[in-house]
Amino acid sequence: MRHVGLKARMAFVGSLLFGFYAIAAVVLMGLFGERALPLILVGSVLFVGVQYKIGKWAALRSVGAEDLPEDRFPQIHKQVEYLSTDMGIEKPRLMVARMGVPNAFAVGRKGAGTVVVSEELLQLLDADEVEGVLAHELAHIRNRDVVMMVLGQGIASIVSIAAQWIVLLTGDNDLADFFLAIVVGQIVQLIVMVFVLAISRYREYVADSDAAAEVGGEPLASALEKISRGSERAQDSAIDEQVSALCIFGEERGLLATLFASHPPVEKRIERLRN
Amino acid sequence: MDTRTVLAAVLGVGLGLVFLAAPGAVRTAYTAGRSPQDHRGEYGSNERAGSRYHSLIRAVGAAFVLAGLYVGWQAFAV
Repeated sequence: MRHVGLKARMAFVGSLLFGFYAIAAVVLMGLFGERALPLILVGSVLFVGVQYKIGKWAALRSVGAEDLPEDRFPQIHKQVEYLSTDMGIEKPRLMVARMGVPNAFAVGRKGAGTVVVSEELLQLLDADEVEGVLAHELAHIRNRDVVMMVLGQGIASIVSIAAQWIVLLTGDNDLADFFLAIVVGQIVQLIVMVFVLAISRYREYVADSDAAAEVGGEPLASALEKISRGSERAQDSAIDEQVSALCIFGEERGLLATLFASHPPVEKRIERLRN
Repeated sequence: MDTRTVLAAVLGVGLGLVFLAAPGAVRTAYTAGRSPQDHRGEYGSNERAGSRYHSLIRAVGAAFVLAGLYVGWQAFAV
């Protein structure tokens, strides 16, 4: 059985999210009557579907991604073709973008996935390191990680809306009640997202382990190491220049940053990949 | 003194402080699933501090704090 740990965690977080959603649906039915149920269900599906579609479109557009020309990058196309076949998924659309930093990400789902790599990443990494990164992104597509995150965010939003309605409809509709509704909605959304992001971090480890199973752990570990070293150097110089206020908040290392991180620490990933 | 008004003030200021203190964390919480978390910042990392949206998030945080203080002041004034 593949990824037993992931399945156990998904069962726990999935049940929790379903519980949140069920409570929200029951509350909305209580407020608007039982006839609202079909509307709530259809609305939820539409809400998540629209988020998925817009998210994919916006992500590609925001980085100005273009199709990765096969004549200029034949090796990458071959690597992805080989890896996709090995992983049992259709070859995703490959795109390239100038992002200003070495980066790569996957959007879409199994059968309609897109992998975007930055020109900076292709310039910085060796061919086998690029292959490690590609294997990691393909694992995200195979494991439906993008869809899971959309679903998680969708449920968080729906629960937040339900919480707002509860506060609004149980109050006196004065200014304080409107403000309380907004604040409670945001707090509820943040609380649900703590669970969603916890599973996101675990899914990163799973994608790493899948990539390691395909091409070995060293290429991806080496890629992460190379990128994080460059990043530390850039950050050090930026801090020297600006003495950024962000450093005062210690945002990158605080409890909130840890709770709401979408990725595990790079050092831990590298360590796991090498062990 | 109305409990809900006090709650609104306390939670509003608290939420505002979170927005002010950790805009990156807040942004991740709101954008995860809406846009790929990998598409900002460098590969394998969370979004880097100093994103152009952080000032906006801090402004929203300041607004929450001010609104919370105003609601709290109203509660004690009545």
